[in-house]
Amino acid sequence: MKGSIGESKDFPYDVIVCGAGHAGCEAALASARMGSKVLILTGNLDTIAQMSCNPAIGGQAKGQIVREIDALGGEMGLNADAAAIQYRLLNTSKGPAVQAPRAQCDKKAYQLRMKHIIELSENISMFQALVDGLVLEKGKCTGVKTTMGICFYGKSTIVTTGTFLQALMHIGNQKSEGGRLGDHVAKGLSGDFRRCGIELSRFKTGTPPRLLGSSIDFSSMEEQKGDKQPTKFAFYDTRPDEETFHVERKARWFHVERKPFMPSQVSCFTTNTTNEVHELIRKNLDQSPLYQGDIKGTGPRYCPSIEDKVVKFENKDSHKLHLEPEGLDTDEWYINGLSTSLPFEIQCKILKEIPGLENAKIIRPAYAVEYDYAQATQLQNSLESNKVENLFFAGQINGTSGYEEAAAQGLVAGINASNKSIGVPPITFGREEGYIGVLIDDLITKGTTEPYRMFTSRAEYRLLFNHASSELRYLDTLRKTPLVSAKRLSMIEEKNAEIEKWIKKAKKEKVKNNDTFADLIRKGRGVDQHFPEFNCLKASVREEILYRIKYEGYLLREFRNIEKMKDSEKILIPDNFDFLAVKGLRKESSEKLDHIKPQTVAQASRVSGVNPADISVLMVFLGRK
Amino acid sequence: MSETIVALATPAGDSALATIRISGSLSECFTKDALSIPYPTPRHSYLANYKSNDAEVIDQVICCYYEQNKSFTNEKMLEISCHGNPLIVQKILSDLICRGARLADPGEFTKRAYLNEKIDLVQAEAIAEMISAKSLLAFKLARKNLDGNLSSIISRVQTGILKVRAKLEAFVDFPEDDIGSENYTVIISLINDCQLVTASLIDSSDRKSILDKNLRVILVGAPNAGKSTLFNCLVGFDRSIVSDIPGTTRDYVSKSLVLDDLGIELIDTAGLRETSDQLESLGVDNTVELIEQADMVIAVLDSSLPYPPELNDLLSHFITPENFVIVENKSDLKKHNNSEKYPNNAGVITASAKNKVGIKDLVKKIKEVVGFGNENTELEFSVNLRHKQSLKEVNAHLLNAISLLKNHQDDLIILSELKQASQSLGNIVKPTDNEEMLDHLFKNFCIGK
Repeated sequence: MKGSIGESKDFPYDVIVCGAGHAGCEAALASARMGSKVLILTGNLDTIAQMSCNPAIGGQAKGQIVREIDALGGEMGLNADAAAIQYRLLNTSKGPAVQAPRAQCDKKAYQLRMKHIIELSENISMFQALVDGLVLEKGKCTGVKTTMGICFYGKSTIVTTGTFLQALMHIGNQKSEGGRLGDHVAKGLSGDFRRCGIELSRFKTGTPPRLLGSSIDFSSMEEQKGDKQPTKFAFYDTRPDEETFHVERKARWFHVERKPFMPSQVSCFTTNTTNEVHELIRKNLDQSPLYQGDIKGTGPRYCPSIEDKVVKFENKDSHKLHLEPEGLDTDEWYINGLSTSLPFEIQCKILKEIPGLENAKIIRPAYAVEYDYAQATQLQNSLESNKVENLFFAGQINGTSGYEEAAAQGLVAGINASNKSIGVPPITFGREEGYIGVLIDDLITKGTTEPYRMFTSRAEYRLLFNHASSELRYLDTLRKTPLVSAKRLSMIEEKNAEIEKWIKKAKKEKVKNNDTFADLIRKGRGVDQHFPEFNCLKASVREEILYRIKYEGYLLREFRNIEKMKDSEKILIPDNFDFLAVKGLRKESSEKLDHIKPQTVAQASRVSGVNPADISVLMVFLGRK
Repeated sequence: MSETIVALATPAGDSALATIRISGSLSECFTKDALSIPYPTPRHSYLANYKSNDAEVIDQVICCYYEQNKSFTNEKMLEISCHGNPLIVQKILSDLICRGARLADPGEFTKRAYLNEKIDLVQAEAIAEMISAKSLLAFKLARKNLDGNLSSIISRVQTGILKVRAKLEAFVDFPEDDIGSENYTVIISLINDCQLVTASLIDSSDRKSILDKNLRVILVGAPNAGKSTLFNCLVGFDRSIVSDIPGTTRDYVSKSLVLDDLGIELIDTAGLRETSDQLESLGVDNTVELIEQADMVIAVLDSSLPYPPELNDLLSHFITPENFVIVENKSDLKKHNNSEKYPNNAGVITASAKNKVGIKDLVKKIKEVVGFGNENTELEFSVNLRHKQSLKEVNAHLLNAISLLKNHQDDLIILSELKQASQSLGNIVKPTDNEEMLDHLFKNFCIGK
């Protein structure tokens, strides 16, 4: 639907998305692809899909998530490819399963393209308005209130408030309200959530200072170039031509010389902190709100502030810093590894002691931000709230961090909010399918005590999750949904069939002495000498075949483990099941289960603190009922 | 919340005293209503009259009340010691049931202690093992498990594996962070340390399984070598006595006794000599069968006579030849030098059964042979079959991981082995999850590019 924004109670939108960050954009687009009429609301149209922290997409575990998002028809992969200014494939010395693509992106280009994609989406209406409350009817969410005094009505509502909910920023002792430097705060919603019984807590995150490139002495730093052969996020081999960079084609977007496939890549640089820096920080800890107790929220351990690193690893006399460009049309640089909440003047002094940054000019200060999030244990695996029907949550409000984690949740919430609006059961994502399944399941069964970031170690079947196989892993979901076009689906089916055909053939056909083709592949000898047609296969197909054959034993073991898990995944726990009434469950376990309300026995077994003995008790109890 | 349970804790039957145990929220009411102690001081003994629901005094008893979280089950508990007449016990039990308690299922007190997280799974097993221990040694071991010895060693191994996993995972998940480089030699040696502990636990389980039954020790030797005299000496060594084993045939004599805390079934066999006498040769056939089932064989020699040649044939039926001891009996007579004919590595004891010389040495030797000879070999924990099963899995995964590391295989596959080792180990006491691995990771590496 295009045209007027409309506010009629009788003709509600199918899906309303509050917030247009990485979760919100992906949510709106997914709902639209599912066929819903969508309204996306944002406090500021100029900051759609803003990269509030580092100017990069992907990286370890995250890169795999982006590829999964692309496999499921999402936009993040294409958008990152379009805005990429440097590519690196990480972990090339390790097995294919943990190799991960990452791209430095042009921040503005990323935003503008995503905004334009949404503008061109037939099913999406976009509007600048700040949401400050829910419209509730009989325990169901039927719309949202805005600070303009206008209400919007929707059959489903997705909340993606990011770091904006009751957000408080800290620079030294200076405090100001807002979810990002220069931006607003979202008020009102927290109260409504609490009134509905949704519990909120506080997290903290931080961001480093931004520097002016011309004031940096790069000559004293180590240069990090991009890969000669970029590893892209989107699956171009199964995307029909008209579906790649469709925006650029339609809107003549970007100038000719900035065609998405970059002619040359930009570099990043590394330097390091010095003992002088550490001294300075130790001396001024009393001015850090983190160490003064001003900041109550928990921050992430994997992304600590520089004061945290200096205090917790006092024997380390130097910490690495990475300088990353924020774009092609700007000389603003991001200094990765130097996030801090120390006062501005200390930040300036710190830079003076860092090789290459002695004369660097700060153009945006570092700051910490605290915000409200809601433990995702209050959600179902569709990301719908346990407490309020038709209300979905995605992104940082669920306690995660990272653009990719947010986007993945947006995609899942978008699909399911759309299904909910027409009364169709949710599409769920299993831990055995990919990182998106692991992400959702971890969040809803375990919750999180620090901002949650994906690690490959969180996925028990990660050997199966090599980034290149994403679209094959999600084939079942793609068949059931309109997330990708029929044409693209048939291309993926073909790719899948081709791979399976070759694996069968390789295991059957003897090529040399008594060795099958598969034997040769496992031995790594003369693979390219026997089937010219194998050598002609697309690289993506060939590599998947080689991977599956080489690692067959290990992959089979994973499949067996999945089978075991699926048995208990099939045992459903009825809604409103009373865990407290199960005799023989340990007290801690029954209380936890009662809080989290797992939907299957397998989910219950993943709740932390629940042990195998508890699960057998639960199974017996369910069996008897 | 949960029901109040009651049971007789001492054996049924006539006795001086009988102890009734109660666990659950009603314990406090019972103290007040049945014993007329409205505000009992916890863990304090009271002399009281037990009054039934219809106000009849049943018995004069000693009772003790335990408050919540400070009792065996972590629930409110009450212990009542009454006179050991089954009629009185029955009356009190019926009255408590009438007041709302129910009879406990077997093992339910221990189960509640486990469910309320007073003890872990290994400790719960230890209680059962203590109650059914066949010998003082087995009891001592179970007692050590209750103290948490096994749990703590398992958790040390678990921590060891988690640390190695954290090291390897750091390089997988944070390839760009400033965390140095992987040192595989160190990693291999760390895994090796864990593996050695699991291997020794498995080994101690094999040794411990000896304690789960009476050890079958059999005496063989030529007629008149002094077997029966030695048999009687050993039986006499045991001051606690001793039951005849039912079904003893006239071909051998057997007694079960306790030698220095070790439970033993001692068997005296028929003589060795080949004979045309049908009855006696039947006896020799039986001896072969006994040797096949024996945990230990003691050959008794008349040291003044030549070494009987049939002995080595007979010993070929013994499946654990290292558990073999020669007793050179009749040390009071002139010695005939036989030692070059002894089987290799046989332990030798010089004794005179008639004069009760060397018996102590033999007892010591018996303990030594089955692995409980001196303080150093004393077991510190009791590894049961369930633990052993898991430990074997752990051991196999650790060995795999080491060999994969040595062959420079993919870190991911090594990590998959190590993760399975963690999981199998987790089955013994409590499971671990990825969060624990991450805790180690973030504690030891400064992550945050």
